[in-house]
Amino acid sequence: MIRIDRSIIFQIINFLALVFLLFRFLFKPVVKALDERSNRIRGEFEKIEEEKKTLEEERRRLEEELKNLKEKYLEMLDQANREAQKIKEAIIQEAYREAEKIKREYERRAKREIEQLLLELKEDIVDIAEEVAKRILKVHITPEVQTRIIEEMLEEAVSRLEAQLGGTYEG
Amino acid sequence: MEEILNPHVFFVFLGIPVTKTVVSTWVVMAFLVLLSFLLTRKMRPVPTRLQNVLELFVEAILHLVEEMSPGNGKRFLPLVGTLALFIGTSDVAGLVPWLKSPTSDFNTTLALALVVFFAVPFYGITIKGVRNYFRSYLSPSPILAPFHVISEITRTVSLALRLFGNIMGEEIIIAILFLLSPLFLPLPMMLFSIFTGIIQAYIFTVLSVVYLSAAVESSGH
Repeated sequence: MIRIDRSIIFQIINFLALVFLLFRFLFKPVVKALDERSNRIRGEFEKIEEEKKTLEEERRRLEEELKNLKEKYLEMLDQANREAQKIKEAIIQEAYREAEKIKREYERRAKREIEQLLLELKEDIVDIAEEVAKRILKVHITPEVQTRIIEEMLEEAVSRLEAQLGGTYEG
Repeated sequence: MEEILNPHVFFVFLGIPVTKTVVSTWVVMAFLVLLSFLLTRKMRPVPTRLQNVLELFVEAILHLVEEMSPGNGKRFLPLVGTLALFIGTSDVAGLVPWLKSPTSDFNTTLALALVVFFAVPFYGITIKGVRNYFRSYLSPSPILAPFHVISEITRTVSLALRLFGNIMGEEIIIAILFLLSPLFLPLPMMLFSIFTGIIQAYIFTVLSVVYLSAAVESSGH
Protein backbone atom coordinates (compact mmCIF):
# COMPACT_ATOMS: atom_id res chain seq x y z
CA MET A 1 0.00 0.00 0.00
CA ILE A 2 1.28 3.47 -0.91
CA ARG A 3 1.87 5.54 2.17
CA ILE A 4 2.24 9.30 2.34
CA ASP A 5 4.21 10.25 5.42
CA ARG A 6 5.95 13.27 6.78
CA SER A 7 9.16 12.41 4.88
CA ILE A 8 7.56 14.34 2.04
CA ILE A 9 8.55 17.50 3.95
CA PHE A 10 12.17 16.37 3.85
CA GLN A 11 11.88 15.66 0.16
CA ILE A 12 10.44 19.09 -0.59
CA ILE A 13 13.18 20.78 1.43
CA ASN A 14 15.78 18.52 -0.19
CA PHE A 15 14.57 19.39 -3.65
CA LEU A 16 14.41 23.13 -2.97
CA ALA A 17 17.93 22.96 -1.50
CA LEU A 18 19.07 21.11 -4.59
CA VAL A 19 17.49 23.78 -6.81
CA PHE A 20 19.49 26.41 -4.94
CA LEU A 21 22.74 24.42 -4.94
CA LEU A 22 22.53 23.50 -8.60
CA PHE A 23 21.67 27.09 -9.45
CA ARG A 24 24.75 28.19 -7.52
CA PHE A 25 27.18 25.53 -8.74
CA LEU A 26 25.84 24.51 -12.14
CA PHE A 27 23.33 26.72 -13.93
CA LYS A 28 24.74 30.09 -12.95
CA PRO A 29 28.34 29.39 -14.05
CA VAL A 30 27.26 27.59 -17.23
CA VAL A 31 24.78 30.31 -18.22
CA LYS A 32 27.44 32.90 -17.43
CA ALA A 33 29.94 31.07 -19.64
CA LEU A 34 27.37 30.77 -22.42
CA ASP A 35 26.45 34.45 -22.15
CA GLU A 36 30.09 35.51 -22.11
CA ARG A 37 30.78 33.42 -25.18
CA SER A 38 27.75 34.70 -27.05
CA ASN A 39 28.66 38.28 -26.03
CA ARG A 40 32.20 37.74 -27.21
CA ILE A 41 30.98 36.31 -30.51
CA ARG A 42 28.48 39.17 -30.86
CA GLY A 43 31.29 41.62 -30.05
CA GLU A 44 33.50 40.02 -32.68
CA PHE A 45 30.67 40.20 -35.20
CA GLU A 46 30.06 43.86 -34.36
CA LYS A 47 33.78 44.54 -34.68
CA ILE A 48 33.84 42.82 -38.05
CA GLU A 49 30.78 44.78 -39.15
CA GLU A 50 32.44 48.00 -37.99
CA GLU A 51 35.62 47.15 -39.87
CA LYS A 52 33.57 46.20 -42.91
CA LYS A 53 31.82 49.56 -42.74
CA THR A 54 35.15 51.40 -42.38
CA LEU A 55 36.61 49.49 -45.31
CA GLU A 56 33.51 50.20 -47.37
CA GLU A 57 33.87 53.93 -46.62
CA GLU A 58 37.57 53.78 -47.48
CA ARG A 59 36.77 51.98 -50.73
CA ARG A 60 34.15 54.61 -51.59
CA ARG A 61 36.61 57.39 -50.79
CA LEU A 62 39.33 55.80 -52.94
CA GLU A 63 36.85 55.30 -55.78
CA GLU A 64 35.90 58.97 -55.55
CA GLU A 65 39.57 59.92 -55.52
CA LEU A 66 40.24 57.68 -58.52
CA LYS A 67 37.32 59.23 -60.35
CA ASN A 68 38.67 62.72 -59.61
CA LEU A 69 42.14 61.70 -60.74
CA LYS A 70 40.71 60.26 -63.96
CA GLU A 71 38.83 63.48 -64.61
CA LYS A 72 41.96 65.50 -63.87
CA TYR A 73 44.00 63.21 -66.13
CA LEU A 74 41.51 63.58 -68.97
CA GLU A 75 41.45 67.33 -68.49
CA MET A 76 45.25 67.47 -68.56
CA LEU A 77 45.33 65.24 -71.62
CA ASP A 78 42.83 67.48 -73.35
CA GLN A 79 44.83 70.57 -72.46
CA ALA A 80 48.04 68.91 -73.69
CA ASN A 81 46.29 67.99 -76.95
CA ARG A 82 45.11 71.54 -77.37
CA GLU A 83 48.59 72.92 -76.72
CA ALA A 84 50.13 70.35 -79.06
CA GLN A 85 47.66 71.37 -81.71
CA LYS A 86 48.61 75.02 -81.22
CA ILE A 87 52.32 74.18 -81.41
CA LYS A 88 51.69 72.07 -84.51
CA GLU A 89 49.83 74.90 -86.19
CA ALA A 90 52.56 77.36 -85.23
CA ILE A 91 55.22 75.02 -86.65
CA ILE A 92 53.25 74.60 -89.88
CA GLN A 93 52.78 78.34 -90.18
CA GLU A 94 56.46 78.84 -89.57
CA ALA A 95 57.30 76.19 -92.18
CA TYR A 96 54.99 77.87 -94.70
CA ARG A 97 56.62 81.21 -94.00
CA GLU A 98 60.07 79.69 -94.37
CA ALA A 99 59.08 77.96 -97.61
CA GLU A 100 57.65 81.21 -98.94
CA LYS A 101 60.86 82.97 -98.01
CA ILE A 102 62.99 80.30 -99.72
CA LYS A 103 60.73 80.42 -102.79
CA ARG A 104 61.03 84.17 -102.96
CA GLU A 105 64.80 83.94 -102.58
CA TYR A 106 65.06 81.42 -105.41
CA GLU A 107 62.79 83.49 -107.65
CA ARG A 108 64.97 86.52 -107.02
CA ARG A 109 68.07 84.50 -107.82
CA ALA A 110 66.47 83.12 -111.01
CA LYS A 111 65.52 86.59 -112.13
CA ARG A 112 69.00 87.79 -111.51
CA GLU A 113 70.46 84.89 -113.46
CA ILE A 114 68.05 85.53 -116.37
CA GLU A 115 69.13 89.13 -116.44
CA GLN A 116 72.75 87.98 -116.41
CA LEU A 117 72.10 85.55 -119.23
CA LEU A 118 70.29 88.17 -121.29
CA LEU A 119 73.26 90.44 -120.82
CA GLU A 120 75.60 87.68 -121.88
CA LEU A 121 73.34 86.92 -124.85
CA LYS A 122 73.37 90.53 -125.94
CA GLU A 123 77.12 90.40 -125.90
CA ASP A 124 77.01 87.19 -127.93
CA ILE A 125 74.63 88.77 -130.44
CA VAL A 126 76.96 91.69 -130.77
CA ASP A 127 79.83 89.26 -131.33
CA ILE A 128 77.80 87.31 -133.92
CA ALA A 129 76.80 90.52 -135.63
CA GLU A 130 80.42 91.50 -135.79
CA GLU A 131 81.27 88.12 -137.24
CA VAL A 132 78.50 88.47 -139.82
CA ALA A 133 79.65 91.87 -140.70
CA LYS A 134 83.15 90.57 -141.11
CA ARG A 135 81.96 87.76 -143.41
CA ILE A 136 79.86 90.12 -145.50
CA LEU A 137 82.75 92.34 -145.89
CA LYS A 138 84.99 89.48 -146.97
CA VAL A 139 82.60 87.99 -149.56
CA HIS A 140 80.74 89.74 -152.34
CA ILE A 141 77.25 89.03 -151.81
CA THR A 142 74.09 90.36 -153.23
CA PRO A 143 71.82 92.44 -150.96
CA GLU A 144 69.28 89.61 -151.04
CA VAL A 145 71.82 87.15 -149.78
CA GLN A 146 72.99 89.57 -147.18
CA THR A 147 69.47 90.08 -145.93
CA ARG A 148 68.88 86.35 -145.85
CA ILE A 149 72.08 85.78 -143.86
CA ILE A 150 71.15 88.45 -141.36
CA GLU A 151 67.73 86.91 -140.92
CA GLU A 152 69.22 83.47 -140.43
CA MET A 153 71.64 84.85 -137.90
CA LEU A 154 68.89 86.62 -136.06
CA GLU A 155 66.72 83.49 -136.01
CA GLU A 156 69.65 81.48 -134.76
CA ALA A 157 70.27 84.06 -132.03
CA VAL A 158 66.61 84.07 -131.02
CA SER A 159 66.43 80.26 -130.91
CA ARG A 160 69.60 80.12 -128.81
CA LEU A 161 68.15 82.72 -126.48
CA GLU A 162 64.92 80.75 -126.16
CA ALA A 163 66.85 77.55 -125.54
CA GLN A 164 68.88 79.21 -122.84
CA LEU A 165 65.85 80.78 -121.19
CA GLY A 166 63.97 77.47 -121.22
CA GLY A 167 66.97 75.67 -119.62
CA THR A 168 67.27 78.27 -116.88
CA TYR A 169 63.62 78.00 -115.90
CA GLU A 170 63.80 74.23 -115.93
CA GLY A 171 66.98 74.31 -113.86
CA MET B 1 8.09 -6.09 -1.70
CA GLU B 2 6.99 -4.18 1.39
CA GLU B 3 10.49 -2.64 1.45
CA ILE B 4 9.98 -1.30 -2.08
CA LEU B 5 6.59 0.24 -1.33
CA ASN B 6 7.40 1.52 2.15
CA PRO B 7 11.09 2.20 2.60
CA HIS B 8 12.96 1.42 5.79
CA VAL B 9 13.02 4.26 8.37
CA PHE B 10 16.55 4.84 9.65
CA PHE B 11 15.68 7.35 12.35
CA VAL B 12 13.17 10.06 13.18
CA PHE B 13 14.32 13.68 13.16
CA LEU B 14 11.99 16.26 14.76
CA GLY B 15 9.11 13.89 14.22
CA ILE B 16 9.96 13.44 10.53
CA PRO B 17 11.04 9.92 9.52
CA VAL B 18 14.38 9.75 7.70
CA THR B 19 13.76 6.86 5.31
CA LYS B 20 16.11 5.02 2.98
CA THR B 21 14.63 7.16 0.19
CA VAL B 22 15.60 10.36 2.00
CA VAL B 23 19.14 9.10 2.54
CA SER B 24 19.33 8.05 -1.13
CA THR B 25 18.09 11.52 -2.08
CA TRP B 26 20.93 13.05 -0.06
CA VAL B 27 23.42 10.80 -1.83
CA VAL B 28 21.99 11.80 -5.23
CA MET B 29 22.05 15.46 -4.19
CA ALA B 30 25.64 15.20 -2.96
CA PHE B 31 26.65 13.47 -6.17
CA LEU B 32 25.00 16.15 -8.35
CA VAL B 33 26.31 19.07 -6.36
CA LEU B 34 29.84 17.68 -6.14
CA LEU B 35 29.88 16.86 -9.85
CA SER B 36 28.56 20.33 -10.70
CA PHE B 37 31.11 21.97 -8.48
CA LEU B 38 33.99 20.00 -9.99
CA LEU B 39 32.87 20.54 -13.56
CA THR B 40 32.15 24.24 -13.28
CA ARG B 41 35.16 25.09 -11.14
CA LYS B 42 37.24 26.17 -14.13
CA MET B 43 35.01 27.23 -16.96
CA ARG B 44 37.06 27.91 -20.06
CA PRO B 45 36.23 30.23 -22.98
CA VAL B 46 36.99 27.31 -25.31
CA PRO B 47 35.04 24.47 -23.65
CA THR B 48 36.53 21.11 -22.73
CA ARG B 49 34.67 17.89 -23.52
CA LEU B 50 32.91 17.73 -20.12
CA GLN B 51 32.11 21.44 -20.20
CA ASN B 52 30.59 20.85 -23.63
CA VAL B 53 28.32 18.15 -22.18
CA LEU B 54 27.20 20.53 -19.41
CA GLU B 55 26.59 23.35 -21.87
CA LEU B 56 24.67 21.03 -24.17
CA PHE B 57 22.42 19.96 -21.27
CA VAL B 58 21.80 23.55 -20.15
CA GLU B 59 21.17 24.70 -23.70
CA ALA B 60 18.74 21.81 -24.26
CA ILE B 61 16.74 22.86 -21.20
CA LEU B 62 16.84 26.52 -22.25
CA HIS B 63 15.74 25.56 -25.76
CA LEU B 64 12.90 23.39 -24.39
CA VAL B 65 11.59 26.23 -22.22
CA GLU B 66 12.08 28.92 -24.87
CA GLU B 67 10.12 26.88 -27.39
CA MET B 68 7.10 26.69 -25.10
CA SER B 69 7.48 29.95 -23.22
CA PRO B 70 9.65 32.41 -25.14
CA GLY B 71 11.69 34.75 -22.95
CA ASN B 72 11.42 32.62 -19.80
CA GLY B 73 14.29 30.21 -20.44
CA LYS B 74 16.64 31.58 -17.82
CA ARG B 75 13.82 32.18 -15.32
CA PHE B 76 12.64 28.55 -15.39
CA LEU B 77 16.09 27.02 -15.86
CA PRO B 78 16.97 26.38 -12.18
CA LEU B 79 13.69 24.59 -11.44
CA VAL B 80 13.29 22.76 -14.75
CA GLY B 81 16.99 21.88 -15.00
CA THR B 82 17.05 20.56 -11.44
CA LEU B 83 13.92 18.50 -12.07
CA ALA B 84 15.49 16.91 -15.16
CA LEU B 85 18.82 16.22 -13.48
CA PHE B 86 17.40 15.02 -10.17
CA ILE B 87 14.73 12.76 -11.66
CA GLY B 88 17.12 11.36 -14.30
CA THR B 89 19.78 10.60 -11.69
CA SER B 90 17.28 9.31 -9.13
CA ASP B 91 15.69 6.96 -11.67
CA VAL B 92 19.00 5.20 -12.29
CA ALA B 93 20.24 5.49 -8.69
CA GLY B 94 18.34 2.31 -7.84
CA LEU B 95 20.87 0.38 -9.91
CA VAL B 96 23.63 1.31 -7.46
CA PRO B 97 23.96 -1.25 -4.64
CA TRP B 98 22.60 -0.15 -1.22
CA LEU B 99 20.78 2.76 -2.79
CA LYS B 100 17.07 3.06 -3.40
CA SER B 101 15.77 5.06 -6.31
CA PRO B 102 14.22 8.15 -4.65
CA THR B 103 11.59 8.37 -7.39
CA SER B 104 10.33 4.87 -6.57
CA ASP B 105 8.92 6.40 -3.37
CA PHE B 106 5.60 8.19 -3.79
CA ASN B 107 6.62 10.76 -1.18
CA THR B 108 9.46 11.92 -3.44
CA THR B 109 7.42 12.11 -6.65
CA LEU B 110 4.57 13.83 -4.81
CA ALA B 111 7.06 16.29 -3.32
CA LEU B 112 8.35 17.08 -6.81
CA ALA B 113 4.82 17.41 -8.19
CA LEU B 114 3.90 19.70 -5.29
CA VAL B 115 6.91 21.89 -6.01
CA VAL B 116 5.69 22.21 -9.63
CA PHE B 117 2.12 22.74 -8.35
CA PHE B 118 3.24 25.73 -6.25
CA ALA B 119 5.75 26.96 -8.82
CA VAL B 120 2.94 27.44 -11.35
CA PRO B 121 1.10 30.19 -9.42
CA PHE B 122 4.42 31.58 -8.13
CA TYR B 123 5.73 32.22 -11.65
CA GLY B 124 2.25 33.13 -12.92
CA ILE B 125 1.84 35.84 -10.29
CA THR B 126 5.47 37.00 -10.62
CA ILE B 127 5.17 37.46 -14.36
CA LYS B 128 1.54 38.41 -14.89
CA GLY B 129 0.57 39.94 -11.56
CA VAL B 130 -2.00 38.66 -9.06
CA ARG B 131 -5.09 39.99 -10.84
CA ASN B 132 -4.13 38.85 -14.28
CA TYR B 133 -3.09 35.45 -13.03
CA PHE B 134 -6.33 34.74 -11.16
CA ARG B 135 -8.38 36.25 -13.96
CA SER B 136 -7.13 33.40 -16.14
CA TYR B 137 -9.08 31.02 -13.84
CA LEU B 138 -12.29 32.77 -14.88
CA SER B 139 -11.56 32.32 -18.57
CA PRO B 140 -13.47 31.46 -20.73
CA SER B 141 -16.28 31.44 -18.12
CA PRO B 142 -16.31 31.89 -14.31
CA ILE B 143 -18.30 28.64 -14.07
CA LEU B 144 -15.18 26.79 -15.18
CA ALA B 145 -13.05 28.17 -12.30
CA PRO B 146 -13.57 25.09 -10.04
CA PHE B 147 -12.70 22.84 -12.95
CA HIS B 148 -9.44 24.73 -13.48
CA VAL B 149 -8.57 24.12 -9.81
CA ILE B 150 -9.53 20.44 -10.04
CA SER B 151 -7.50 20.14 -13.24
CA GLU B 152 -4.43 21.56 -11.50
CA ILE B 153 -4.79 19.17 -8.58
CA THR B 154 -5.38 16.10 -10.75
CA ARG B 155 -2.52 16.87 -13.09
CA THR B 156 -0.23 17.24 -10.07
CA VAL B 157 -1.35 13.86 -8.71
CA SER B 158 -1.03 12.27 -12.16
CA LEU B 159 2.46 13.76 -12.52
CA ALA B 160 3.48 12.18 -9.22
CA LEU B 161 1.78 8.85 -9.87
CA ARG B 162 3.12 8.46 -13.42
CA LEU B 163 6.74 8.81 -12.33
CA PHE B 164 6.28 6.77 -9.17
CA GLY B 165 4.40 3.98 -10.99
CA ASN B 166 6.98 3.64 -13.73
CA ILE B 167 10.03 3.60 -11.49
CA MET B 168 8.44 1.46 -8.77
CA GLY B 169 7.20 -0.98 -11.44
CA GLU B 170 10.69 -1.34 -12.84
CA GLU B 171 12.16 -1.90 -9.40
CA ILE B 172 9.57 -4.58 -8.63
CA ILE B 173 10.28 -6.33 -11.95
CA ILE B 174 14.03 -6.17 -11.33
CA ALA B 175 13.49 -7.50 -7.76
CA ILE B 176 11.36 -10.38 -9.04
CA LEU B 177 13.90 -11.21 -11.76
CA PHE B 178 16.65 -11.01 -9.16
CA LEU B 179 14.80 -13.52 -7.01
CA LEU B 180 14.38 -15.84 -9.99
CA SER B 181 17.93 -15.65 -11.28
CA PRO B 182 20.29 -13.30 -9.46
CA LEU B 183 23.09 -13.48 -12.06
CA PHE B 184 22.03 -12.58 -15.59
CA LEU B 185 18.26 -12.28 -15.81
CA PRO B 186 17.88 -8.82 -14.20
CA LEU B 187 20.66 -7.36 -16.38
CA PRO B 188 18.62 -6.54 -19.54
CA MET B 189 15.87 -5.08 -17.36
CA MET B 190 18.40 -2.97 -15.47
CA LEU B 191 19.76 -1.62 -18.77
CA PHE B 192 16.22 -0.98 -19.96
CA SER B 193 15.46 0.86 -16.71
CA ILE B 194 18.22 3.38 -17.53
CA PHE B 195 16.43 4.15 -20.77
CA THR B 196 12.95 4.39 -19.19
CA GLY B 197 14.36 6.41 -16.28
CA ILE B 198 15.67 9.06 -18.69
CA ILE B 199 12.39 8.98 -20.64
CA GLN B 200 10.41 9.50 -17.41
CA ALA B 201 12.66 12.38 -16.41
CA TYR B 202 12.07 13.93 -19.82
CA ILE B 203 8.28 13.47 -19.57
CA PHE B 204 8.13 14.98 -16.08
CA THR B 205 10.29 17.92 -17.18
CA VAL B 206 8.33 18.60 -20.36
CA LEU B 207 4.99 18.46 -18.53
CA SER B 208 6.32 20.82 -15.86
CA VAL B 209 7.41 23.26 -18.57
CA VAL B 210 3.97 22.97 -20.21
CA TYR B 211 2.23 23.80 -16.90
CA LEU B 212 4.61 26.67 -16.16
CA SER B 213 4.34 28.15 -19.64
CA ALA B 214 0.54 27.87 -19.54
CA ALA B 215 0.56 29.83 -16.29
CA VAL B 216 2.67 32.69 -17.67
CA GLU B 217 1.28 32.98 -21.17
CA SER B 218 -0.70 36.19 -21.72
CA SER B 219 -3.86 34.57 -23.11
CA GLY B 220 -4.45 32.64 -19.91
CA HIS B 221 -5.51 28.97 -19.67
